[in-house]
Amino acid sequence: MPRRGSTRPPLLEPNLTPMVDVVFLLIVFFIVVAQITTSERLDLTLPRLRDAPSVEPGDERRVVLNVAPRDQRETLGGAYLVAGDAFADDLAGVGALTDRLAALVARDPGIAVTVRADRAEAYERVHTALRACAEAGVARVNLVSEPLEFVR
Amino acid sequence: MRARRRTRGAMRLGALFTPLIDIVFLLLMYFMLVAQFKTREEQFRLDLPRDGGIPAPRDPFALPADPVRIAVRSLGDEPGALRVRTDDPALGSPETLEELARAVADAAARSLGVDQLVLVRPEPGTRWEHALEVVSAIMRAGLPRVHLLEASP
Repeated sequence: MPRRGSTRPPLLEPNLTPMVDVVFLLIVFFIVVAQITTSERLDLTLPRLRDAPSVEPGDERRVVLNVAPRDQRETLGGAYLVAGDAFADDLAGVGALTDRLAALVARDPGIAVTVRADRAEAYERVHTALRACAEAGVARVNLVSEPLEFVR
Repeated sequence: MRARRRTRGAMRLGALFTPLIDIVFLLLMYFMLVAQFKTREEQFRLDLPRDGGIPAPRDPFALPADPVRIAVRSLGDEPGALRVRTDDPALGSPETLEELARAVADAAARSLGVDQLVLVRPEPGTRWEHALEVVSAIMRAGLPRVHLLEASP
């Protein structure tokens, strides 16, 4: 018995382990890469909406504009965060934010800005961001909410 | 001879554990990454007025209608803890979110067209959640052209 086994060519032995190893490593790699691309979402407590008129994101280019909560502004370096840059809440900061958005619109006129803000945020601060988008020529804004489960 | 064979068999058995642990850990990592630890996010679309002005209606033959103006004020921290105020005769005088949704649905079915512009003006200090709730309710009730205006009392 052992002699017959030893004469069999070793290449034919079904050894799936390295293949499964590599396949899973590839899967994990792509999942991790995909999560890096979504990491520009700030950790916020989003507004809860029942039955929001939500849409699936299309294939247009998107950029995320986070409105930082008051207690995180110091650590994040500003009130408005776009693609890794922070902008202050004053006149100069909002002007720089508008310029930054206008540069993105100039590169791609169909760009959609995803506006994320905390549910307890004062409306004026979010409106400042919306007005900056409008002045920069952004045609479309996506407002982010969290689904509210039907309570009763 | 016998002892050597036994050790060889034990070695082979030991070597089989390494890929098993490999794969078990890979599976563990895979499912931990796939599991969604955060709640789902939804987003809905809001068209912004170009250059601060009010955009032209989609239907060029539509008569220019006066926009419906709705003011919002927060009462508390809970969702729905808000008051709305409108002076539009088509809507009556709704106060809560549910009344507003019903009034807008009625008016959209009877007098107001789909192109009717609705201007939502939250008061200063209104919670963002409440402003968003009102916009969402109006869109859901059948008037999709909603604009958020600057806060004013």
